[in-house]
Amino acid sequence: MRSYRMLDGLLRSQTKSAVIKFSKDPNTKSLRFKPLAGVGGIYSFRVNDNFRVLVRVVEDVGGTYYLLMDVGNHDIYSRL
Amino acid sequence: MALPRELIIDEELSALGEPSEDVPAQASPQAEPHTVLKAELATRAARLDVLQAVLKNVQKKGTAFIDSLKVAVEAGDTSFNFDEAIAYYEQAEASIRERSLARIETAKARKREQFSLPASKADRSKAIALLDREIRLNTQTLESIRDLRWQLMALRAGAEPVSGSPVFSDPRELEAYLDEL
Repeated sequence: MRSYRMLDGLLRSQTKSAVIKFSKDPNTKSLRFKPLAGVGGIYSFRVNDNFRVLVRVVEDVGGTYYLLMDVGNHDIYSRL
Repeated sequence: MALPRELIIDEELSALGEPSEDVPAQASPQAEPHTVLKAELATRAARLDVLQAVLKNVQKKGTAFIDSLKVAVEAGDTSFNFDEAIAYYEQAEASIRERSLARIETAKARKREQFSLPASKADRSKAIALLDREIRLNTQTLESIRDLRWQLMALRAGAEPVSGSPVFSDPRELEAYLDEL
């Protein structure tokens, strides 16, 4: 997962916690797991108000795989 | 490698960085306060029209480029430098963030002030509508740049080779892996 190594203490711990929660159940309501408009197979889930993890969903004969691709800032400016 | 011309928005950012309210009104100094206010509102509305058009251009050329990039990536083109483009948009967002957020706060404060200023109901409504428009414009500017960056991040995520990535079926193994990173 790109950028994970660069996260500082609190954000890193929040990201890890969200990723673990996601691995147990991607449909956990607080994660708000949803597809990104316009790019097929790419989804995101919430770390906190300002950060999201980017996920690539791959289906193959072995089942569904969630590939954790990136984590980044996604400020909701209309709420600031 | 240089970024494609369509992705470079330095000039637009510079234009969007210019204040919308500090423009001299087109009324003579001897004019009545009411006339001066009307002239100020008209000037600010015209200025916001220009800024709105600049933002629309940023959105239009960014979206057109992303659409063509999608086609190229799907066709197997790996020449585009995603890292550079994403870093550029990250920097662009950071460069206008403080200024835009400050403007949003100022516009909100000015909206509150409108109720205690001597002005007609119609002029007050116009002033408030302009301030709302300014808040929306600044918010949309930040969100547009953020969304272009996320579109690029998503395209990069879709284009990256993933064979050989570690696979976990047990959350404890995943946790241990993250601790090691």
